[in-house]
Amino acid sequence: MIEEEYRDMYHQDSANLRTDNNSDIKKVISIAGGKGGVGKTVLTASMGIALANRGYKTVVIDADFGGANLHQALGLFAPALTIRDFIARTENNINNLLLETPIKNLFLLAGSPGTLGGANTQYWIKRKILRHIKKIDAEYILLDIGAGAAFDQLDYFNFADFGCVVILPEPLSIQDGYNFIKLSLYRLLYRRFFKIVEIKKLFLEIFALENIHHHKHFQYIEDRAKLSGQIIRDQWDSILKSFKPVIIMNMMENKQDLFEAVALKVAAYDLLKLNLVRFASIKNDPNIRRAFGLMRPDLLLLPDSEAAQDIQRTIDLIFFGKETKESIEYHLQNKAKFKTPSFTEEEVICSVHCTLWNKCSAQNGGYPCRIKAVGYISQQKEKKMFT
Amino acid sequence: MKKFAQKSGQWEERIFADYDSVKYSMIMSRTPRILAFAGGKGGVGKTIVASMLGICLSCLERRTILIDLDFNGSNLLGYLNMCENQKSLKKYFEGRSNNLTDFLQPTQFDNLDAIVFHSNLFEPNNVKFWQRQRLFYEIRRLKADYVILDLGTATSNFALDTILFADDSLFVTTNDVFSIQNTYSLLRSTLMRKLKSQLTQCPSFVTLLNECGLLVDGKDVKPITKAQSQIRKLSRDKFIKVNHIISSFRPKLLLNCYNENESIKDFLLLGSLAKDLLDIELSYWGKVRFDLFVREAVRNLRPEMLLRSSGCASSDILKIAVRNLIAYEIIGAGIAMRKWPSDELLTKGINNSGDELICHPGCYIWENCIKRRKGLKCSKIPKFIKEQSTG
Repeated sequence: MIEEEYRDMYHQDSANLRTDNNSDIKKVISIAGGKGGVGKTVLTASMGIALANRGYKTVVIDADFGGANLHQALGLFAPALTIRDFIARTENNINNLLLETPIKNLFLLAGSPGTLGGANTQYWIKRKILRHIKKIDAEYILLDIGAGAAFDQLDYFNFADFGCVVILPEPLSIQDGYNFIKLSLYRLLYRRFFKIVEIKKLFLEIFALENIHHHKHFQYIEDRAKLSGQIIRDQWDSILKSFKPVIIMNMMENKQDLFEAVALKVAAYDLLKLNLVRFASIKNDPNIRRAFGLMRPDLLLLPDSEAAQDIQRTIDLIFFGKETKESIEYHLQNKAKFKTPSFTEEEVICSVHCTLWNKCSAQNGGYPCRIKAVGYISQQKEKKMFT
Repeated sequence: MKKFAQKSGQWEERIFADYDSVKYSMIMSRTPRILAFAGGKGGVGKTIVASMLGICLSCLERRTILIDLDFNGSNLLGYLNMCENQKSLKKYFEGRSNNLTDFLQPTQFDNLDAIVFHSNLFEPNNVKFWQRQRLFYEIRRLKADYVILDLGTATSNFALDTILFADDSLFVTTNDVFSIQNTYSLLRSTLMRKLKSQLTQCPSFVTLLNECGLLVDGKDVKPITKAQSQIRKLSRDKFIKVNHIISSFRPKLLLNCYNENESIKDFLLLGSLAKDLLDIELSYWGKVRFDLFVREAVRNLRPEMLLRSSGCASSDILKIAVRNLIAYEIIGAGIAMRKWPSDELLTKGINNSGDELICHPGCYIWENCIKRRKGLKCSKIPKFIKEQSTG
């Protein structure tokens, strides 16, 4: 019986290492975004500074092995101690590697730029680092994850209590953000269930396919995996429930940009059955770029700027759980005084499930369909009646 | 001939595109000129600049091919607004049966073709040595005038080898501290990779480089100029060879998102840093101004609007293309005859100790050679090639 085998093989320390109640750490957050240049490093530094100013001991970790920039964001030109010391075993206690920053209560665990082969660490080194991160003496920990969606990035992302995906109001950034969310979910499920041979085969089959963007893959995997037994069904559902990434839209300029995020939310709901409720937006502020150019982190969060207020609001959302007020719909109602796209049954939303998806010239994913041909609508209604 | 080669050092002080790459492709006139776009930092605009340059060249009726080699964030498909059901390059790396030409996809521009990559969970470490050699060999054999490779923010060995393989390696930066620092570290990594790959076959070199700390990864690495002076004291011949290798690496810089009101002190610092600490001669290809038209074109997924005549970025790209690429098509043949190819060009692909010759697409007999054994020792008579190189 598969269930019995699973019970024997399953152990707590599989995908994430969050189950440790002895430390003072309140929350571990990771900040990622599939595309490069969206502002992850700057955002991590700003959030760390804002938290530290509120009096909490925060540690900011640079998990971007390919291009470690976080130390520059905090005003340190060349860090004396980096993660490389830990990997090379010259320093075994990770608490000794924390560097002080010009801001009180904020500490940094720096990465080392410019080492050949730094981005391709082995799996056991990654596990060791993750285990030791839990032993850090701090209240909040922020992980800055690099660009891309390789195994390194996905594993650090899934290690945290939950993660933030940063996007820009550009279509390619949103595509990469959706891709990152999808792959981190796949990776989480794979690492939890890979000891069951059938499920492992399923995942490898999908990964080997050429067009992994096809919309039926997740449903296919889920249907077949759930045939294996009740334990697996429960585990699967609990993972899906606990996977709640926060979407942060950076460098926002006007109300129109919010609509781009709606496409992401609809795609995640349609294709992955994820309800991405938590959303934050940060206004574009050229002073931030100037502050980093001068390497003066204390000039970052001047109280007058809107960006600083947005960052305080995101911290309230992420760390103190003020969830209900920050969904996309709330933003749209307040900041945009026009109709929000509604997800009722009567209106037809342009999505991948439409029969005309590949051939339609008026595609507008996530928004109400612009071509309201009668025959097409009746087809959709029939489908809904029979499913 | 040797005196001529020494005099040529004076020509290299000027800051413009260097001739060595043109000579090779002029001599072997059937091969395309290969440009590789790399950059340590993400979001700097490499893919946009690469696709704009490709579109510009195709509009000037040069046959161009754009190849997406960015395994960790491939975007070329999106920027060129191509349908998602295209054949991806992932299959090429899985077996031996596919040719590179099977993956060429037409775009909406006449003379422009693209080879796209869309795959997830493809680890860049998995590109094996023979796959890499096969890829380089087939890129050289593509029937085009220009081939543009987009490498993304990759720092893997494969990406570094591709930068060294290309005729012109372009590093795209913006005018801020992060990207400049990342570009510097990428330059350093490529140089180390070059030294490693060309010198580690000879054990005497390995001991020498270990003494001087050049093969060590970590924070205790000395700047390369200090190591060079140490090598010079120990052995003069080896110093000449190491110097040869370092001076044959000629990267090019391109400044993106340039704002005329900002000072470019940090950017200019990069040139002097590279010279002082790494002994690299950086060439400067040009600057591309920040343009809202480009941003709108990308947001609306309309690549034909990228090169709008009223935008300032399009005129900058045209300037870059003409000055650095098209001018040498006309003049290149003449210059190739005037300036004799340096020793470095003739011994490309050949181990610098002269003991072993490795079969390599850079060998100038590559096309006419019967006994090609890629990546393995050359089976031709070594003396024949040696005589030609010292002649």
